[in-house]
Amino acid sequence: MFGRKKPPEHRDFEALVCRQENRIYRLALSILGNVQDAEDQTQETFLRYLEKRPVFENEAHESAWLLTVTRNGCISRLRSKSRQNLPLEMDIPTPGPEEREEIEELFRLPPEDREVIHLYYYEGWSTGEIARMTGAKEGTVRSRLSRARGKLRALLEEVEG
Amino acid sequence: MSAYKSYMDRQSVSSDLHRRLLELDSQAPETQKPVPWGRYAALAACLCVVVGVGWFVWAMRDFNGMDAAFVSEDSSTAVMEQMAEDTAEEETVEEFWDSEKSAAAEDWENETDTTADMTEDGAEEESATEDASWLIPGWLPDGYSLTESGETEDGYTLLWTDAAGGELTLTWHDRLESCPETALAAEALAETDWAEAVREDENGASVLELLCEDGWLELTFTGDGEALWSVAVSLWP
Repeated sequence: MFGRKKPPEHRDFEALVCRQENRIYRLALSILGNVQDAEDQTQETFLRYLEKRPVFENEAHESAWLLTVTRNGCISRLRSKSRQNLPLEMDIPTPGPEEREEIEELFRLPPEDREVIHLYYYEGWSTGEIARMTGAKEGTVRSRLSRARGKLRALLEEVEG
Repeated sequence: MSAYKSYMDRQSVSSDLHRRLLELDSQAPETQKPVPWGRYAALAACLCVVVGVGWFVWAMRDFNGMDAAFVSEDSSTAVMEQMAEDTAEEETVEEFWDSEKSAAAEDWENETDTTADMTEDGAEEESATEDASWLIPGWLPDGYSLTESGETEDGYTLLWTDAAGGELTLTWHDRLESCPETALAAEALAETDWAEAVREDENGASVLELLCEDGWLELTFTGDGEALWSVAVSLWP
């Protein structure tokens, strides 16, 4: 009649998954550009959480930790593929007709530029926060962001022209 | 970037992945949550180990002193007898040496200097030249003998001679105020009623113990090339 009561840690983990899974998946997708790899990385991030079981001060801290783990995992995956000379196959969900140009051009940018664009424009992080996450200087993040915007603009102009 | 935002908003994990993620918790091995006081517990544990080791060393020091005293008091007669035997043996060896003196020993006699020197400020400085190092490991306890001892102008000198004619002179200086134990031991050794014994320590080094009423002097010949020998002086408790 009554279901078995789950321990509080399990309920906490369920809540964490529901709260963060899409955010993690989206960052992974933006960096890796591949649905399967992004799903694998999302699972790996939660496994890492279960291994470490860090105690978070608040939700922002939680997001930062999970996204940093995801980002580092994605970079490792890309490096591993690069070392093995495996092709980086783009496989992203098909964008809508009005999004197609921008999305396709955006995914033509290198992964490190896509990462910065995602964190800055989608997650709303500051350049300082991105610098702390990536271990780069804030100036480097700014220049990378500017360069990515420039490339994107040029690509879009090229398509329109 | 509005297109990117709307595109990403639509991206979400598949129901299959969502289910797999929720199952991870039950599959993952149990890990203990880190406790806030964990680091202090680790520090406290380290402190306990340090205190424990310190106590052990202190206790062993006391124990060793008692042990040495016990050995000396109980075996002084045996040691004296052993000394007499050693002296007899020395004569035999010297006779042998008179007839067949090796070239190596000649070299040693000419080149070695293992005299303990005294620095200007009165501190005792133990030295052994590199030339002597090849002889010292095999020197003691086989065939060594005390050939001379006596007071000098500024202290007390012991001279050992080995079977090959090598010599080791050790001098304790009375003016050595920085090491009162040494001076006391020198005084004690100046008396005639002291005995000597040779043993091997746990590291295989030759240890010469000079025993007397008031204390003992222990010389360890490590022969490892760097620290050829060391001197430890202790007094009875």
